[in-house]
Amino acid sequence: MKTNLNKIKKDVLELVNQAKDLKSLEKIETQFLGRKDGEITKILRGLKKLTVKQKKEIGPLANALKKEIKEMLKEKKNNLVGKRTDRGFDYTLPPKKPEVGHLHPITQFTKKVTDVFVSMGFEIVDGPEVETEEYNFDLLNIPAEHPSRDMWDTYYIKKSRNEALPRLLRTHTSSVQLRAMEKRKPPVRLIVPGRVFRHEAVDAGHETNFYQCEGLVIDENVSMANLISTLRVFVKKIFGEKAKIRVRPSYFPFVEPGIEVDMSCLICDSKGCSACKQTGWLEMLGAGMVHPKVLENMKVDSKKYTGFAFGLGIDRFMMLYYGINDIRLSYNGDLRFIKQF
Amino acid sequence: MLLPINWLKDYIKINLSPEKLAELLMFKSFEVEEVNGDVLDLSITPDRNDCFSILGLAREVSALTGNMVKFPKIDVEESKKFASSEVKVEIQNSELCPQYLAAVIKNVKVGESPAWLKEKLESMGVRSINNVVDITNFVLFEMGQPLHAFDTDKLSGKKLVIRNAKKGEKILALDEQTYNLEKDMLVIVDDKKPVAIAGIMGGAETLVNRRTKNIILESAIFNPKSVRLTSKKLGLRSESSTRFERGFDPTLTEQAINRAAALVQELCGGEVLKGNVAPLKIKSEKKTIKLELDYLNKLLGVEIKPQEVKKILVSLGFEVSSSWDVAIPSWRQNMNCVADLIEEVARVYGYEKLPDKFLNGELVPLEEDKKLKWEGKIKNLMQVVGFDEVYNYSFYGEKQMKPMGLEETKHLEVENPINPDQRFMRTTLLPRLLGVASRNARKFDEVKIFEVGKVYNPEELRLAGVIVSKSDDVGLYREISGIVSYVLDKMNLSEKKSSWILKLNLLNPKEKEEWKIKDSVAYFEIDLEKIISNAKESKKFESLPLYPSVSRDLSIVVPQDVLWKDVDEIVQKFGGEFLKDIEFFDLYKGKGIEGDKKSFAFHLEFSSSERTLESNEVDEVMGEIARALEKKLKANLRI
Repeated sequence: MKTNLNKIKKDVLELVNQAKDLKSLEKIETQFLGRKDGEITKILRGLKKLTVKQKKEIGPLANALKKEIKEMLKEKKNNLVGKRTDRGFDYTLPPKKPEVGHLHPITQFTKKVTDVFVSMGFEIVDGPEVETEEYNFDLLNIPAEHPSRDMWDTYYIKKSRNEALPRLLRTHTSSVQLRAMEKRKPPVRLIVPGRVFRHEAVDAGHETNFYQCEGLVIDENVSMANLISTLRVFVKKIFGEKAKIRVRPSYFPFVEPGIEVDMSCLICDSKGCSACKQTGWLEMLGAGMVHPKVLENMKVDSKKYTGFAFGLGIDRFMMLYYGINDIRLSYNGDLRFIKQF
Repeated sequence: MLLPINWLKDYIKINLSPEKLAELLMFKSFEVEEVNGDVLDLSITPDRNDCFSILGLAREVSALTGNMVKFPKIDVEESKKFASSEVKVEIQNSELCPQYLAAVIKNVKVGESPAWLKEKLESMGVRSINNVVDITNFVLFEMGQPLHAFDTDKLSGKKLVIRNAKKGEKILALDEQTYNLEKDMLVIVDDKKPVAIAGIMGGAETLVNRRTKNIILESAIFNPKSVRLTSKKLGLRSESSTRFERGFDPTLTEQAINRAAALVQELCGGEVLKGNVAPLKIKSEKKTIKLELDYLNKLLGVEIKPQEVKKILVSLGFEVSSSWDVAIPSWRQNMNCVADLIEEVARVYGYEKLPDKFLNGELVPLEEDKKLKWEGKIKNLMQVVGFDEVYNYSFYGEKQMKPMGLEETKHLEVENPINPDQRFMRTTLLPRLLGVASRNARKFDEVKIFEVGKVYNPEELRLAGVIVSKSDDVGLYREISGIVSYVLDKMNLSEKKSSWILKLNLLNPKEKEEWKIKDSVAYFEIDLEKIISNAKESKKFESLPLYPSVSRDLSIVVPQDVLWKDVDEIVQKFGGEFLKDIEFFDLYKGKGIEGDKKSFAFHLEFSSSERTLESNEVDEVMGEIARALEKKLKANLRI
C-alpha cells in the first residue's frame, strides 16, 4: 500500500509537470482526487477494510498525499495563470509607470536638513539674494581691503546712477544672520537655507550659484561644545549613526574661535577613496562662535550672550547623500537627472 | 605656503614624520593641503600672517611640540663710515609707511648663489637670479619680511623718497611690465622717478645684476590695506604683497635687514656701512588683553585648569601676568579681543577634548515664515499635477532675452560676468525654463516642468511652468489653465487678481521656431509674493448629499464668436438653486455644423439637500436654460 502511495505521488508529479493548460490540471484532479473514482479517494474509502494498525499507518499518509496533490495542482495553476495565455492577453507586459512629477533633489534635501533643525527648535528664516556689501561683508567683520575678502569670489551688480552703495550677489546666507537679528532678541535658534553665488569657473565641483544653509544660535550660555554636539547630531540624523565628525581649527572673520568640520567618508567607509582624497574624511562645513564684534553689530550684548554659527553647503551634502559626482547636473535642467528623485 | 621640512629643521628639532607633523598642524593650527614627500603645502588662514615664514612656522611647531627654536645668529661687520652719509631716506606719508630701513653695502661681488641657497629657493618654487636677489628672497621666506635691493649706481641722486605716486607716473617693474600709477598708490622714488611700487615690486631699471657694485637694501613696513588696494588695482601680486597685506611684525624689519646684510657680506663680500638709515622709529608697545577664565570656560563649554591655559599661552609666546593680563607678542598683531585668545587656547587644548553637550535653553514657540511654508506647498502641488522641478541660473544673457523681447534696461546688470549668459539678473523665470523645455523635448514625448525662484529688480518670488505636448493647442491651453486654477484654488485666496497671473499663453509658431520646439508649448508665470500674502489654509467641508442628484447633458450650437464664458454665465444665472455643477466636455466644429457656428456640449448636475428632485422640476429648469441661451446667444439645441 505504501509503495502504491509513492507511485501515485510520482505519477502525479510527472503529470503535473507535463500539464500545459488548466484543462489537463482538471483531468489530473479528477483522476486522483475525483469524488467517485479518484485513486486517492479510493484508497481513503478502502481504509475501513484495513486493520487498526494499517489504518494508523496508511490513513495519515494518504491524507497527507491528498493535501500535497492539492498544493501541487494549485501551484501549477498559479504558474499557468501567471503565464496568462488563457486570458486572451499577455499579462507579463511591463507595468506602465504612473505619470508623476519630481521635486528637485536640492528641494528634497533642503527639506531633510530643515526638518532636522526644526526638530531641534530652530526657526527657518529667509533673506534677499541681492545684498549690500554692508550685510554681506562689513557687518560680518570682513572689512574692505582685508585679505579675508579673498575667501569669497563675488559677483557685483553695476551701480545705477542714483545708487551710492555697491550691491552684490550674496556669497553666503550669513548675511541673513544680521537681517534676522534686526527683528529678534536672544534667545534665538535659526537656520537660513538659500541660494548663494560665487564668481568662479564652473566645473564638476563648483557652480556659480548653489545652496547653503546658515545656522545661528544665541543664548546666555551657548558654547563651542554645544556647537560641536549640534553638528554631530545633525550629521547622524542625515547620514545615520555611522557618520562621525572631527573638528579642526579654521578661520572665518565672523566667528572666533572658528572651526572646520569634517565628516567620515561614507563612500569608502573611511578607508580612503578618490572622493576623500584617500584621507577617509570629507570637508563638510565651517562654523564657530559668533565674533563679539558681530554680536555687537546685531545689537546683542556680547558680555551677556554667546552664540554659534555654522554654514553648510546643501549641494555638497546632497551630492554625498545620493552619490552624485557633478554639481552641474543640478542646474542644467536635464530631466533624466530630475526624474530619478 | 610651502613648508620644506628640511629647511624647518635648520631652526628646530623635528622628531615627527612629515605625515605626523601634517596631522599635528592640521588639528592645532591650519589646514594642510598636501604632504608631498618632505614638503607640506599649508593653507594659512588670513589671521596667521606670523606663519608666512619658515621661522614663524618653527615657532608654531615649537608651541605644539615643546622643542626650542634656534634663531639664526646675525653677525654683521660694519665699517666706520655711516650709511646715512651715503644715502638719505625721506618718508612723506608715514601713515602708509610707518617704517623704512635702508642698509648700504659697497663693492659687492654679484654672482651665482651657492648650491644650498639655490636649493632652498627651489624648494619654495622660486628660481635663483643672483646671490644678492636670492638673499633678499631667502630672508623673505625665512623670516617673513619682504626685502628689496637697489643698485645704488642706477639710482639718480642719493635720496629715496617714499610718497604717493603722481598722476601720470609710470614704472617698468621687475616683471618687465609697465604700470600706470595712481595718486593713492605708494611708491619709492629717486630724484627723477619711481623705482619701486611700495611693498609690491621693484623697478627693472634699478635692479641688481652681475655688473652691480653697490647696493641698498630696503626693509620696510607698508600699510596692509594700501598694499592690497594697489596690488588689486594693478593686477599685480607678489610674495611681498601677499605678506604685507596680511599685517606685519614691527620688530622684524631690523632683524631681517641685518640678517640680509650679514648674508651679503658672507656670500658677496663688500663693505656694510654703519647703521641702517632709519628716518622713523616705530613705537612697538605691547598690546595686552585681559583674559577672564570664566568667560573662556563658558565659551568653550569645558573647564580648563588655569595652569593649563597659562601653559598654552606661554608656549605660543604670550606673557601672562598673575591678574591674567595677557601681553601679545610682536608677531601676533592680529590679536584684538579676548575671543582671539580663547581660540589660541582652544586649538592647542584640542577640540576633540570638548565634552558632548547638547544645547539647552528656553523653548520658544517657532514663528513660521509664511512665504517659505507656501513655497514648499506650491512645489508639492506642482509635483502632484505631474510637473518636474528644475533649478536654473539666476542670470541670463542676450541669447535667452531676445526671443522674449526683454529689455536690458529693466534688468540689474552684473558688473563682472564670467560669460555672456551671466550679464543680467533674470526678471522672469521663463527664458531659462523654455530653454530647458526645448532641450528635454528632444528626449521626452512630453515635458512638464516648473521652477520656483527669485527674479530681481525688484527681487520677488515667482512660479513658472512650461508644458511641451503632442496634444492640440486648445487641449493644451485648457490643461495649463487648469493647473494654474488648481494651484490658486488650493491657496484659498481671500482675493484674486488677474494681474497676479503674469503670463498664461501658448507659444506661437514663430516663437516655437526660436526655441526650437516642434510640439505645442504652453507656459505660465505667477507672482508668488502677493498671492502668498493672500493665501489661507482651507477649512472648508461640504456635507455629502443625502438625496440623489439628477443629471442632464446639453449640447448647443452657437455662433463662432460666442465664448464658453458667456454660456457658463447664463447657465449659472438660470440654473436655479438646485444646479450644483456645470461640466464642459466638448467643443466641436466641422461636419454637421454650419461653417460660422460651433457646438458646446456640457453636463449639468442638480440636487437638493432636503429632498429628492422630481424629474419634471429639472426639466422645467432645463427649459429655462435653453430658452435663455437661445435668446441671449442665438443658441440652438442639438439633439
